[in-house]
Amino acid sequence: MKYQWDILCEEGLQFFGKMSASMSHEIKNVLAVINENAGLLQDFVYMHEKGMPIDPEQLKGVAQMIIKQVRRADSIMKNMNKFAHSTDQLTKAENLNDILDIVTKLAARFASMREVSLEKIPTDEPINIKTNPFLLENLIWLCLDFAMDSVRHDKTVRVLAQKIDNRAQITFSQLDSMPEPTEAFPDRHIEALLCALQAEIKVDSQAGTINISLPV
Amino acid sequence: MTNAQSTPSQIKILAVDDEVDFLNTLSRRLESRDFEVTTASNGEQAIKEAKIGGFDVAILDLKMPGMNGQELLKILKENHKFLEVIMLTGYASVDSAVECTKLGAFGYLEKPYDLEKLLGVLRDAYETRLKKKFPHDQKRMKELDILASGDPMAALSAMMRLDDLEK
Repeated sequence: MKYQWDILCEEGLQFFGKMSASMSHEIKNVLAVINENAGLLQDFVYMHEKGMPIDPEQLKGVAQMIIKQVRRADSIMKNMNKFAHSTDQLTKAENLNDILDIVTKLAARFASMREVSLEKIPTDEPINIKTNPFLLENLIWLCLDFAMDSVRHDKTVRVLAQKIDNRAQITFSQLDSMPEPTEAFPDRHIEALLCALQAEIKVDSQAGTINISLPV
Repeated sequence: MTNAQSTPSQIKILAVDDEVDFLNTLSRRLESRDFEVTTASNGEQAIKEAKIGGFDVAILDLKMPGMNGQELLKILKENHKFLEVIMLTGYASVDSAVECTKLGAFGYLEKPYDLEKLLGVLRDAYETRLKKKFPHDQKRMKELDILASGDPMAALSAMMRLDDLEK
């Protein structure tokens, strides 16, 4: 078990660090846009002092841009906060869709960098499970990371949560470019997470799917 | 995406960033300072624009989807001998700056930045471009050394007139 915890700690720290770095990079981009628009307002003032009239429509445009970026940053910080709080409890009753939701949002920037899309299929009913939220998020991320490299350029990874035979199931599909054989996946990090979560994984390179099955 | 019609004697900038809101605002600010700015939101588009554009300086974002800034930097420097390139990044690191410099980047700025700082780097990059274009013209080099100091906008404007003499 000690060996597994070493892997879980190492993987968990890397996962947390990677997500934190990504979100901080996104916030930096937001600050860059706000900074540029603040500079534009300074330019308008300077031109006005030189005798040029100020166009209210231009001011309106800048204000709207700043508001848009503030909303974007707020959304990023909400995700960051939710993610940080997923470490609060080792076992918690959660709606699996909410966990999937946060991970797909965290993964969105990585998907964009790889020029692929993520599509989380909504379900009507909640899928309630008792789990370690952070470890499950880590497992979902590792599967998503592999899935994003298993689709062709400009394609979409589909993610769906379901309840089947009294177990919760997460399916990643449309993986039409999965390497074969999939010896590198699942790796020892995923195996350690599966063990800790009492979960099972099934990789079908023919069908282009990865299925994770979890106890409820 | 190509902007306003080219007028004589404008320094031509190619600005590349996947953050379109940032790119458009930067473009407006530079155009109000009399630069001619062409924007591209990805590497492939930037390469196409560079082939037709005849740009003096390129400003590239480091992290972009698909072709990243470093890959684009390498291609632009290989194909456009006198183009100087300034890299922009959300997180500056020594390793990244060294790597970009090895690939031929003139400057490396962290976002968000002060525009005066960017204008200073633009001035220095344009001076370097002219020195590479006219390496045997001692008289012009001496003039450049005098012109390329002080206020970035005044220096750029003066250096551009020097460049125009050759056209």
